[in-house]
Amino acid sequence: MLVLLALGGFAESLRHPRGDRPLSGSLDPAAADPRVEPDCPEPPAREGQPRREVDTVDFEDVTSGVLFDCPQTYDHSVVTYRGEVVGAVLPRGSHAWVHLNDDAYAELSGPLPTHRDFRGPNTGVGALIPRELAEQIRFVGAPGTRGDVLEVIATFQRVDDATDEVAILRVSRGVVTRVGGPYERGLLPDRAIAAALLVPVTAGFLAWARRVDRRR
Amino acid sequence: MLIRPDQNDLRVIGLNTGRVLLGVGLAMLIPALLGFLWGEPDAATGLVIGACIAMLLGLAAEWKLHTRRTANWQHGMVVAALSWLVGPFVGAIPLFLSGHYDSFLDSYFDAMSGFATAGLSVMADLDHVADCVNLWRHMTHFLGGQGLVLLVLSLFASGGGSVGMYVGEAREDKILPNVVRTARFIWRVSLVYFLAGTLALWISLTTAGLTVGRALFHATNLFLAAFDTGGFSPNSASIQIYHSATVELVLGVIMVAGCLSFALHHRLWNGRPGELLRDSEVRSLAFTTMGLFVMLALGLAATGTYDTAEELVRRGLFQTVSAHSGTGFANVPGRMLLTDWGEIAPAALVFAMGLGGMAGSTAGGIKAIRITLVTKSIKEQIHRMLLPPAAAGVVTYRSGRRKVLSAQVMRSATTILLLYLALYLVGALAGLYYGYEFDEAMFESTSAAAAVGLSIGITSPAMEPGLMVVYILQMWIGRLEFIAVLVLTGFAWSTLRGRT
Repeated sequence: MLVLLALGGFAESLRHPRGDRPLSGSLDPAAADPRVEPDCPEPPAREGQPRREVDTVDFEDVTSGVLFDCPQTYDHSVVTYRGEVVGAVLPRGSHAWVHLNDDAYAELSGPLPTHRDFRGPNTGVGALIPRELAEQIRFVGAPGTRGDVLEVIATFQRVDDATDEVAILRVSRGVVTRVGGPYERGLLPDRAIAAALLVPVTAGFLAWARRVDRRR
Repeated sequence: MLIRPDQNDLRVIGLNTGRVLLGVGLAMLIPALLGFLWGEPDAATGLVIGACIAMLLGLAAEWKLHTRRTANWQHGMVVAALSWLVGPFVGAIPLFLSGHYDSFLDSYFDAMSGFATAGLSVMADLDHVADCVNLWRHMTHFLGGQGLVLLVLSLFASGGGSVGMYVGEAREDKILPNVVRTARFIWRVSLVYFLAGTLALWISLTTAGLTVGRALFHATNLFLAAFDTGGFSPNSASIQIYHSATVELVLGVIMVAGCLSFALHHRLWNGRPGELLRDSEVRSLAFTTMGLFVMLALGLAATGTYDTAEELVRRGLFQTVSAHSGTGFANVPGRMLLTDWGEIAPAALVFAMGLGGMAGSTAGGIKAIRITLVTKSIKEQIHRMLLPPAAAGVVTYRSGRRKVLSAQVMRSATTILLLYLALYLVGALAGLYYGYEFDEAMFESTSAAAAVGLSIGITSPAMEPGLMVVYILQMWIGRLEFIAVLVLTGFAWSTLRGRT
């Protein structure tokens, strides 16, 4: 038990030292904690009304948390949404699929391990964007790369009949509001020293153990 | 009277536990090497440090605790239980050093979840984690799914305690006469499936739009998670990020292969495809899968969640198979299982998670064989009541060959089944204590204890440490199917209170 505690302490001493916590501002309570009862707004009245222009926004600045908490309310609603492009851009005909993360790491605090704010809940939503918008994306969020942030006007589709996908945004237009780019992931000096000490000791021990084993 | 274990007992246990750590350390060197090649020196160094610590602990055990005494059955059980506690501990070191965890407990949770093939994760900002660390996460599924102890049995053919360690890791079927040969067969089968499954996923992911290089990385990780019924995925959006029914189909096939026992795989490899239809456990698994899918479909139809049968089948069947096989991939956002699926469909998923796959597979949960045995026993009791005593016959079931259902086997199956139900309930009570609704708490608890990984949102980086500890214990106990944990408890008690 003491050995394990010592190892835990050793690991703690080698962790990323960057930044104080917390860095980010307020988080989306719905996405952060399922115990928070979702406060779903009234859906916009549509029945009997003529078809609207797609740019008539029903809800502004929605988050993935509220979309998933109130999918019936937002179904077929035109919303504005902002998030970091992560994973990949997947071209499909005249459109492309992207995943837009709107957690704290997308804009407020930036990607880990550049800081020590761990309050982002790993949330985002898939979006089908026009090919022209996809071509404007320069950086996709990945290890060592902060993705571009897109702000889109889109229709939330609880179930998209055309693609059979669920909980997606069908984007009519959008804009890159922040260009991403690579971020620093250099080797920490104390970590390099620890490895430089541990590797020869382990290799030596291993060679010794093999020799003893052969003698046995 | 309790007999206190002597120094030699402790040496044997320490030595074999050390060997498990040595195996984990060696495995960690693979992603470390790739990390340097991929230009991720910081994360790769974290893996090197973790590997060195694991190997040093193993070598220290080899140095200080070496003994010619062979392990007995009890030693094997204790080694299995201990290895599953300390293996994830060293496995958590590179995760913690990645800078994506708030505390060491968080990284230990993910490591236990990985080794236990649960797939629940509290990693923060998963979409920016270094590829080598991401690969290590998925490798923990492979190591844990195949069996940490199995790894040791394959590398260092242990003595008499092999059977104890093997059984302690919740495996019962000796596929080949020798446990070590069985272990090696399991690794061989897994590697063949690995090549075929990764290739199929690679093609389907490339077709879905990923670049060739990224598709290979994702395919490798997804195979490790699917075949070992784990459930981690390279991105935070699970498999929804691919927007591809083909990828879901390929994963579905791999998940089913993963939840079949290695004994059945052995029979299939030996040209006995008829076993798929004859084996009692396979039939039970097929029956419960279809039954629960019908329940889930009726629930979704009642709530009007999907307009077409195609949508309902794609989401419903995939989630049923994912839950029943213990994998935990999601093609629906987890939160929407509660907000858009009504009451009946999530309940069907809880049942599916609780039942689990086949015994002797990488799946968790109660297991199809126990459901078969308990069902047959209930049927027999009803027959006994309805028919004259002379008409009562022998109850049999088929698992490789026809076997008689004895009272002892029946008692054992019922006991484990009841222990699982208790484990699910204890976790749910813990969830209730922390303020979650019963349905949410039951869903997450069953997912943890049955090593599934589906989540409705309780498991997150913001989860309370107390609840995290409960889920860690559930994953550990559930993965080992109680026996090894009970033996370890008894061993610890006799060390404290026994007489020499």
